Amino acid sequence: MNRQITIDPITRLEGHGKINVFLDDKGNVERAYFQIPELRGFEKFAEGRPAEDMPQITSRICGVCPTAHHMASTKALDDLYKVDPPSPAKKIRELVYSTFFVEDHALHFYFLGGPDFVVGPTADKGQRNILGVLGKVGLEIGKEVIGVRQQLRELITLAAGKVIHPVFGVPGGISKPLRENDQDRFISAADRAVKFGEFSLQVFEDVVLKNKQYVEKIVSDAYTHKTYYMGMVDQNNKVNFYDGQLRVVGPNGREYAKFKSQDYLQHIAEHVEPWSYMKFCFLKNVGWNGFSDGERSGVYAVAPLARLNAADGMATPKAQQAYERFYSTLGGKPVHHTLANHWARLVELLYAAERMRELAHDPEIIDPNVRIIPDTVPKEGIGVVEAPRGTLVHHYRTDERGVITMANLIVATQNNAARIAMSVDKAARNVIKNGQVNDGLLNLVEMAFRAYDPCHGCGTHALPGNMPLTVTMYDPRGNIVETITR
Amino acid sequence: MGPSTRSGCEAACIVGNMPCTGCLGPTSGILDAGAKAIGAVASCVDATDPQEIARRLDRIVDLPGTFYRYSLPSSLLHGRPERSKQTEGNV
Repeated sequence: MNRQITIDPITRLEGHGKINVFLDDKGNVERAYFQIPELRGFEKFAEGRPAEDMPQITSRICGVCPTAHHMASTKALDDLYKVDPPSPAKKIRELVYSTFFVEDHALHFYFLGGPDFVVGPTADKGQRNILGVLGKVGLEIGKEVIGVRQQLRELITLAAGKVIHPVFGVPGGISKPLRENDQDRFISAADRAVKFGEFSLQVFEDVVLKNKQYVEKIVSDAYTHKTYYMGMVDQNNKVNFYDGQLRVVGPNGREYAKFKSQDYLQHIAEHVEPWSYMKFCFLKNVGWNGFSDGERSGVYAVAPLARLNAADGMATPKAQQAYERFYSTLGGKPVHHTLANHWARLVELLYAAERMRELAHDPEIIDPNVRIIPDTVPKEGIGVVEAPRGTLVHHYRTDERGVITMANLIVATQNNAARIAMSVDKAARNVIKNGQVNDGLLNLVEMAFRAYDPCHGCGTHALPGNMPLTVTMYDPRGNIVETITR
Repeated sequence: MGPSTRSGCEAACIVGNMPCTGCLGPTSGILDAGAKAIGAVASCVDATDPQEIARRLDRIVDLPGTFYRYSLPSSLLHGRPERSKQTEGNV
């Protein structure tokens, strides 16, 4: 008899999702679906709003990565009004963005993804959470994790007005400069962040890499797909989160394409499936070839592992060392193991902390010249950043008053959506055999999506025509009067 | 929007050198926070000719999205922004 297993809700991610696993007669997996049942609709209700409101409106897409949406939106406004912000403004933006990257990556490693490794993939589910992590690593380390994040988030409030929905991005710069004592606070926090980054890599080394079972899991075929990878790089092809060109490497690790972010539509297209509200991005010039990997499939990935694969290295010394250790341990470039994302994320955390320290020491950071008032008539603007979860595109068209007529957002998790769906399917096939299912095995399936740090609150921002809807009307006694289905 | 909406945020956006959008919602002592704010803006219009007043106020795009961004359902408009167009001339 056929059986269906549903994991709903899935946990330790941003937004909602569920996994439906269909078993055949023998109890083996026929297919596992990673479904996103939520809907947001931001692209639609942005229409008719002044473009300058977009950094505030789109930051509401997500409470975890509002800074990424705020920054992509602000850069789209620079492009919309054709204004190049003064250098201090760019540096303060990147300083805030680096600060955000450290605290956000720390959130994923310790709170969302970490419990699977620090506590154990098949440990009791009551323990697989931040409290379980604190129990394992000890209270002192736990306090440092929480303390560092608190300090960094206070600094984002200081520079960007608010931490959960920042307000400092305006076309042509930022809303206010930093003062001298603000700079001192950033410097001391950056020193702490660098130490924290090194320490977190050491935790990974001790807890994960010294555990043979974990390493076997990371490099196992169940969590491996040979796909394309995309990430933003600077002029030296080093990883950059705030600005640069987008670079795509093939499954063989060689450069496949490199383009300006404004040209994204020539390279990325979206595929729709009837079983999810998520649209699946693919490389247009390779083509959609189903949920498959290899050079002939346009499926690609973004986020930490993809960014490391798509770049030639890290722009800061300690992160570069960590990068080299990453690839020498995992057998050279590119690394195709999904679970290696956790390690790559910590390499990036260290880079963000080092970049934060560089910028915090830059004398220009307290220069009051932080805005150029635009004087052009707006028409169209595109802004791209690397969100912690991958490449994020904001694209607006406006009328001559600067009122939005079209908004298109391509968010990190959409870029990853096809590969995530494949990863969940493959993991399910490998861990569920002969109808044997338990909580630990199902968590091994969940780990396949968790490594990507997906955000479905962001991923389902579009409004795909008519929503399926069932309305059931009851009389006062609870009897069904009528059911309407659209 | 600050004068007609709740505080409690310690003026985070103002401290950030950005305008207040009223995200904490209306205060209890006000019937309609959006109308109050529109009234405050309208009182700054230095004109007496109705056409001139309308022309200046037309420069504010998306009235409901600006003045009722977080409070449209609980406002006198009851979530129906179309009605604001009819009342626009009377502000």
